[in-house]
Amino acid sequence: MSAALETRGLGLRYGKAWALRDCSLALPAGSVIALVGPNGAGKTTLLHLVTGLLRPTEGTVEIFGEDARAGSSQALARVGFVAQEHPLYRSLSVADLLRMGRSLNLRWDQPLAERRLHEIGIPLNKRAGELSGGQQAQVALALALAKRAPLLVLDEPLANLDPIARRDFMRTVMAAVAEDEITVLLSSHVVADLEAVCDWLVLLNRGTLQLAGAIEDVLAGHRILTGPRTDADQHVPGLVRATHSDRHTDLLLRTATERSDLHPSWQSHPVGLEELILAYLEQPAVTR
Amino acid sequence: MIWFTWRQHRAQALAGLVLIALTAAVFLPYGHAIRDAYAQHGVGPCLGRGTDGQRCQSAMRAFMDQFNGISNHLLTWFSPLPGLIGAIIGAGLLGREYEQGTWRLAWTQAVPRTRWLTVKILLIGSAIAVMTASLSAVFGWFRSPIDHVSGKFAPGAFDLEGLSLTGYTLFAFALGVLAGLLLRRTVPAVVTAFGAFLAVRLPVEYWLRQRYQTPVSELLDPSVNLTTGPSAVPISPGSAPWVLNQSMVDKAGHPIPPTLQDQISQHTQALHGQAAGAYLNRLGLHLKVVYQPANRFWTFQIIEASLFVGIAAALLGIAVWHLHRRST
Repeated sequence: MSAALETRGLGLRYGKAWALRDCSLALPAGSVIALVGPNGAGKTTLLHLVTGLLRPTEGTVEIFGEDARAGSSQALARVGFVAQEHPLYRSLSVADLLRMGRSLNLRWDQPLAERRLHEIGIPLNKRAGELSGGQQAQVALALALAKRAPLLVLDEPLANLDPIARRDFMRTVMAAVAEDEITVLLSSHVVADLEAVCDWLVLLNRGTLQLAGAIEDVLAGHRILTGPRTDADQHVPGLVRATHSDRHTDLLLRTATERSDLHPSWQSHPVGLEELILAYLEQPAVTR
Repeated sequence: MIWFTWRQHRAQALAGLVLIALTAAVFLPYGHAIRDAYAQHGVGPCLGRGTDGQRCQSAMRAFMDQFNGISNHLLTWFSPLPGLIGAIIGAGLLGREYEQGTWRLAWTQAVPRTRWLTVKILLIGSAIAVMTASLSAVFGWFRSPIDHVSGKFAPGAFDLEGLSLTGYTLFAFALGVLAGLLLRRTVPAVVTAFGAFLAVRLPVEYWLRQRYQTPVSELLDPSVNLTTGPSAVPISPGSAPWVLNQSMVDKAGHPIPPTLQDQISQHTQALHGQAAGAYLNRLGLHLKVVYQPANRFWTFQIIEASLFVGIAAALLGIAVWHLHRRST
């Protein structure tokens, strides 16, 4: 599978603090990738580096094999982007926003945008500021999709949306994935939003990459071992997190195989996505 | 990009046209009144022939008393405008994008942000230039009879006519753009830009402008009663120069000491008219006048406009470069 997005040693520094450091990723084309991390983890930084809004301090970004740092028209045309809080020019009508998209883009699929907005019942003559939050998100998404870009980047697209609007938004995204075979990279700090739609996971915390892979592989590559309470297991290879209760110890391990060698009497069971993500995000110093 | 710039700024363009229309509507009738009075008082023939006769002096004084007030008000009303208008338009250009978060929408279309900013600067800058030049044309037409008498170097004339109004507005616009980029907020950027505008504009008017070219010095008969200031009435034919300084000097051209000056002025006040003149002549004194000749008006306009447009271009270049480099 070819890479839709590839970063090597990507980093961005504000003054002395690194917002993102040493991030090397290769995201396969055609997948829906969840970028997960707590607030301040560097998700927006990574997405702004991908869209060319930020210039990296170090490292490279390639989108379908071409340098995205140049900020050229061609590089910008390859990425559709819906920023956090889906900003729109509030005083412009929806029709004017579409016209803006047409006049500022190399490729522009006006019928597609009009059809999508018509299907969800957003009138073109309304000002963006008069629309509900969910409708504004849909207009922002329609603008990004009408660019016909092979990579769609969504920054916290579901935050501030009610459950119906979330469902409708993701429905539009998934329809675009099915019809146009685009690659989608979306960030969120709500894991439940992502589990049903994403097939890839990128985990960021404190500006560093902690985990990246197909969700299937990631889940298959981790196991939880439960056994009698012990403090001696801190040096188990591949330990992600150890939780101790009075009588039990749970170990989350990065391992593909049953680890009966560790402790024959321990029970081993698979881990859920949410639990896995939380384990990684809670752990202060995680072994990679 | 052109359509988008127009769509975003059409309200401002409309406001600009309304301002020009209102200015014209107010000042065109007034300009006609001034022209009527100018003809009625016979100011034109006086200026052509020689203005030191008693009749001409009183005619010009009457004319200036009637209209100098309004033309000074014009200056008071309009002199802060280029700074304010320029700062508001400039600060909103990037400040609003940052405030409303729309920079992330604008610069992720397929127009690179430096081109986006450059096109906007060029289009809006041109519109500002055309509109301020139109305003200057209205002011210049309105003031021209007064300018015949008091000269175009009077602040009310120099700052509003010719090229300087355009230069000031573009300068304030550039300050606004840069302040909006750095501060990311419209209102603080307007305030900063306007403050910086005044910090440059005022020293230029009161200190730098008179130094654009070496002034001319001339020794005159001491009895000449030269008045200065905006309502000054010329005593010689032709346009009034910009008088920077006048003082009594002795035969050798040196300034006379202050104690002697006091004595002389006490003496001349006791005498009057021709007797005072004769007394000053007997002392061998001259009136030294330092001035910028009236025919330097366009040279000075071009210097002043180039100065402000030049700084504006440099500031806008910095803004584009900064946006290109920007990593936040």
